[in-house]
Amino acid sequence: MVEERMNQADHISTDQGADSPTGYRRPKETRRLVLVADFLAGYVISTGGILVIAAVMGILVYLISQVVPLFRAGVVTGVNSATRPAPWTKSSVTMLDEYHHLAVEIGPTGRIVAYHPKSGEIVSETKLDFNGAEPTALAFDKGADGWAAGFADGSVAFGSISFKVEVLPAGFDLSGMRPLGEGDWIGDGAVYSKVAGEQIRVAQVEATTAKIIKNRDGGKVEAISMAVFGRQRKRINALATLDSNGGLSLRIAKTKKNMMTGKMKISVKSYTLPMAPKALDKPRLFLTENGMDILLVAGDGVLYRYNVRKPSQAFLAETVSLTSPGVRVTAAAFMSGRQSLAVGGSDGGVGIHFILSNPGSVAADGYKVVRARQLEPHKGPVTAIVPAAGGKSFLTAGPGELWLRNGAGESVILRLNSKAPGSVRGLDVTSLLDGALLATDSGAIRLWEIKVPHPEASWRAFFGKVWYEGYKEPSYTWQSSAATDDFEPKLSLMPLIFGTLKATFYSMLFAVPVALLAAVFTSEFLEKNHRAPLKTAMEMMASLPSVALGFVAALVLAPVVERGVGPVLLGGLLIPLSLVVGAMLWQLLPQPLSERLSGRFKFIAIAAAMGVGILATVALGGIFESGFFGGDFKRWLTDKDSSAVPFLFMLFFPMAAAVVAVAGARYTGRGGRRGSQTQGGLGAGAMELAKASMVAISAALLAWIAAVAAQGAGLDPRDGLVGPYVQRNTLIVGFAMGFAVIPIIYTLAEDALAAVPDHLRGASLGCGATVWQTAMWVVVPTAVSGIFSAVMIGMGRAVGETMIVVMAAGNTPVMELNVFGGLRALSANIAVELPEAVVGGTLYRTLFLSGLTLFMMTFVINTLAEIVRLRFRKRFSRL
Amino acid sequence: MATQSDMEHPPRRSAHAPLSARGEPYVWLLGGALVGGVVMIIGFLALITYNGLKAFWPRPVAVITMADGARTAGEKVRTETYSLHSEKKSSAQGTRSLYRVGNFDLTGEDFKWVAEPDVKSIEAPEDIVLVERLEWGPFIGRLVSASAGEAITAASKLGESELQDLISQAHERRENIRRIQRGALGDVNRAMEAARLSLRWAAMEHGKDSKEYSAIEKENSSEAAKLESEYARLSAEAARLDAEDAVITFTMADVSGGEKTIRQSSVVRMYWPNAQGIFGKAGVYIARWWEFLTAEPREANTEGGVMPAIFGTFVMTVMMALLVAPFGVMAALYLREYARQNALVSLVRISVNNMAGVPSIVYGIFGLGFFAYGVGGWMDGWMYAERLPSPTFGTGGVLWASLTLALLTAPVVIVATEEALSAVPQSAREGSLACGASKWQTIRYIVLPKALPGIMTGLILAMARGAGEVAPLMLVGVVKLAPELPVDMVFPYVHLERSFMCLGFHIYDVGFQSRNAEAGKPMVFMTTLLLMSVVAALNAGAIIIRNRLKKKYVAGHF
Repeated sequence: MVEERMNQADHISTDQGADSPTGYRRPKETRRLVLVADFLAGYVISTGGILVIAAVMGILVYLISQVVPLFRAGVVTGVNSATRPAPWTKSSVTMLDEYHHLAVEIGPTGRIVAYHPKSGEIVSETKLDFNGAEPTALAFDKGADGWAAGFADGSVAFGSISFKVEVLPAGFDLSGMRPLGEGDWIGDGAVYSKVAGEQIRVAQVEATTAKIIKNRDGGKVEAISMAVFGRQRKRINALATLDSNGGLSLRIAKTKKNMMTGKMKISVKSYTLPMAPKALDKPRLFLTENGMDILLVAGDGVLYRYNVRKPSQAFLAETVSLTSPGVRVTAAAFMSGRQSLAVGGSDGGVGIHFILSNPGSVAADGYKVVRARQLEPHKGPVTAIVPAAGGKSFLTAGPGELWLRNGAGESVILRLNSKAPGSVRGLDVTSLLDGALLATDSGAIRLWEIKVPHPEASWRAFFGKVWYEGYKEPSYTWQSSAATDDFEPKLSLMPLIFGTLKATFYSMLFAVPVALLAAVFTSEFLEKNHRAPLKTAMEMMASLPSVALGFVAALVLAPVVERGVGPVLLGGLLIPLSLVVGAMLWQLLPQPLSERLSGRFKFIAIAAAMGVGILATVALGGIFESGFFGGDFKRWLTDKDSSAVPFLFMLFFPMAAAVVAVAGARYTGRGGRRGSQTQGGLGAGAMELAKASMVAISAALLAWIAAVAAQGAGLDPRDGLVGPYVQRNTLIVGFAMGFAVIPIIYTLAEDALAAVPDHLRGASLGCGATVWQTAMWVVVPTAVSGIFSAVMIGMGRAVGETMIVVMAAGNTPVMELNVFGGLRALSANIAVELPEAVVGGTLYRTLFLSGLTLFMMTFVINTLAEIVRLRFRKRFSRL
Repeated sequence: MATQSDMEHPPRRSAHAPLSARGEPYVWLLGGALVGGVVMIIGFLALITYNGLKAFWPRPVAVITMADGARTAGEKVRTETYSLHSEKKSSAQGTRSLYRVGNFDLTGEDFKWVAEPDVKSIEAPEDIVLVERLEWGPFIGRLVSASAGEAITAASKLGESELQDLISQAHERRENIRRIQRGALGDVNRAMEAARLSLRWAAMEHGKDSKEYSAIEKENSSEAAKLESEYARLSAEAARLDAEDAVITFTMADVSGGEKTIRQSSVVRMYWPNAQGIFGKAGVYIARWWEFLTAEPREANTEGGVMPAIFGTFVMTVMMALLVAPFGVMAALYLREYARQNALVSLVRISVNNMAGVPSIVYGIFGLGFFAYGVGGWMDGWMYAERLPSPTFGTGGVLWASLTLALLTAPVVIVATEEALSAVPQSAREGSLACGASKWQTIRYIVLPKALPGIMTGLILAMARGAGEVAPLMLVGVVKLAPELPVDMVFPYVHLERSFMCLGFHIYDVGFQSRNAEAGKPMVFMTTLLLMSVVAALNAGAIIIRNRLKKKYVAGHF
């Protein structure tokens, strides 16, 4: 309507000019400039306005665009097939370098063949130096670039093998090299490739033998495993072997670098371990992290775990079957970090096993091998399992398929079609998960260029329970980074969402009653001329910087509360109680007097009653703490032997009081009420006081009985609601954040109450209702939707509040109900971790996801508030 | 009141409602909540104000002789009771006091708990001097002598005014050295860096074999020699001045006899806390306030001033206001005056309202991801490629911070402006249109002037919110210590890409990230007081404008 009128206005040309008394003739046409200005303004404002609104809304779109890549499956960007001459027939180990220019295969005899995976051309051929002996078993530690070999006489050897990559400056002469296409050349046993800036990268294989440990009387080594740990200057190679007689042995070789000469000195200690069961079929041997256990996996799926924490007193700790009966183990490998063992069976199943500390277990040493995860099975027998160095991803090969999986997420990240002539012999995936290599015994080579930017990300990892390495059970855990490379990021958002909700809950528990009660009092009981300044002050508090609140809460309030938790709890009971007692005493006043004093004086009296309550709290705090909690509340929290009854009593008392009061009102019937109706002043007041004391005493009795009964039933609040005390805890956060939202809720609720039309109040009062009755049964119900919306808006603020939780909550991402424990909220987590997150990385995007979660939470809450508010407004327009 | 008439007209109803209907206990609980709220707020403000205002008042220094003969001197910070046996179940309590003992370089501790029973005597000798230094915190002890090279003057021969002269001369020397180091040497450094960058730019733009490259290279090489000799000359000059300054010292002794020589130029302030009268103390108090407001921070922000933080907050808030005001008003004008009022616009309105409630940290993420890494990274690749990989705009900076806060406060401004626009009576618009004014003329001359106070209120509230905001700024450009201000005397004068300091983050940083939280506490209180005053002043302004506006509308309603 308005627009139409306005638009018409543009075209009005005036005719009245001719009759102007001044003789001035107004032009009939609107000036061009005005029209142009009008058009321009309309255009600019509409475009600008739409753009601004779009920009504000664009936040949501942008957040989503940053989060979506997390859930994208891996993609194959290129496949390269080649055939290699002179393939071997026996199984071996294959490694692919980070740049996919060089692959290396170590044959069963120690022959090392490096080849160019894209063309299949042989780059170099060398042999490990074993003094002529032929190894009978080979093992690798990829993360540590180490190999180990066992021989027919029981001797073992170990050394290192790695890719040596150098970058040569531009202008390097490649003329003598053989070109391989795609900018790669072969020459001098190395692959040369062009990289950015005309520089040349040279990759070659470097293999050394560190030591051959002789053994004169041992049997043929059937299986070997090596774990490398320790620092650069002091490396420890632990080698476990199984010989054909079933003899298990452990050798620990310490390599020390002499600081002065730079020479390496290797000292070896050998231990003979208990005999393993004889004639095991296809045994596989695994040495766990830091050489703590030896796992011997037989082909029939039975795992023998030897505890070698003290190698001289090693013992068989546990025998457990890893697969279902009848299923054979066809592949097994440690994931990087040597803490979890992936086992593939002849039925295509892939399971991940952890060694967990489990004091109640049957195993002799209190540890236990458990199957933590069962992954999606292959169609047929699993032929190989190869972990990626670093991270927890690994490749599993089934019939014609090659799957990249992650330890944490149970789904398959990437499925590759690996149909190639021959059976799988060599398999590898780079640590960045950007390349996978497959070699078969017929010489076929497949090189996949893949892209798996976020292997750890999945809905399950973010919102579900995941069983992580070293954890006793599946859990919601947030731990985004650690000092080691083998670390598995734990990115469950649940503890953070829980923290946010917990902080919000406790702050609302404090803020809502205070703010709403104060708002009702202000709008219904306070004199009009006092309202404006009070409201102004409250509004100013609403924009108080939260960093100031957080600082005071954490550095001033927290230490004070820590010293007097008992009194603080007591205050929660005593202050309302003192107000009620004050009201009872006030009722003793003759009614004319109390009515005359009902203005400012009554307000002062209320303040005084509160003051008395506070003083009583301070005075009785010590007695209360020693009487109820043996002198120290914090000690009571951790000392489970002491009685829980006092705390339960405090918890039950308000409920009991409410029950008794309601029951009392119902069963004493109208008699009691009539009594107070006929009398005014002292008598009725005394009557009320007596009644109230009866209620209080019986409520106390009831609460105590309930508390004793609850404790008898085994209920102890210390298992959940309360627990060990930390200085920066939920109570503090709840108080500080409540403080921050009280002004918001108060102002909005007061607005809603003040908007209730006065004729409703007038009508109610005219019908003989008291002010209290009017407020309670007329005003508040009318304004209830506005009040609800005020609470919701306050809640939205609390959910997103950042600085207070950063400063006062201790930032521990735990999921416990404990009021005296810390928490970490979504918002605080973002503020703490985002500055350090790698741009575009998994953590970065996960933090964007948590931002999006926060956005959604507040958006839902605010929309709810807005809808209710609009309804409220509509309702009012009808009143 | 009505009692009499009731008595005259039976059957009478009680004039008084029954007690239970008066709901006295409930009313008292309601009142209690209000009293509680008010008490908490007043208590909070009083706490901040009291601690902030008293932080700079010189406290007496006590010299404590312990039972074992050890002596310490320090300012008493607070006294508390503590349980003597923390492990055993015993309620034995003792009293102990925390003293700020200073002399960190001698003892390795700033603060010391002194248990009451261990104290033999406490005195307050008048010759104890407190020296605030540039490094190591305060020194508390006695002045032994002042020396300038070979010439040594005993403390007894130095009057207070002579001492103050010495200190102000030392300040001048320090300023001279600083001027060379930060000013002149900085200029040379900048010139060298500019030459390096222009060469790199030429290499990237034209290639290393080009004419332009060799021209710049040639120019640079002649320049470089000059710059390098200049650099050498200036650093030699600075070193000479520094060496000269190094021998001009005070020799101090702490109360247990340890001696320490400190450079006069490292003394910020020196006073005799126990000998001073009220005016002397007031002088120190004012000087400290002045330093707080005008100087740069020292000692990991726990001492010195907050000038860069004040300036940073100011620049950021003003930039934010300049960004948000036109765009916010434009959006509101569109929504209220130009858009067709249909369901879609109501939906947009609800969403804009909602955006006002979206947590500030979410805007921070957006600012970091979109502005700093996205737009900034793109700008770097386009305009500052020669500086890569070190980012120019591709990291947090004052521009991104202001833009983020502008987005954050845009809903506030839009909502406030819309409300102000809708409060302008429709009749005013219709009158204007009827007189033949165009739509824009109506908006420009009738609607906007009437809505202006409301718009201003919204804008000021937005500024208050922006000034007090910390969380998003932590992500998009606030740092604990910015070497340079975002606006200075070096071309192009306004450096939008620089990171900056702000008051809110300063509170968080000093209170939670510094080595010694106790030492930083006064600073935190002061900064909090300052920030709250700024925010409160902005809010008060907004509220005053709004109340005027309300009155005006109530009075002159159509």
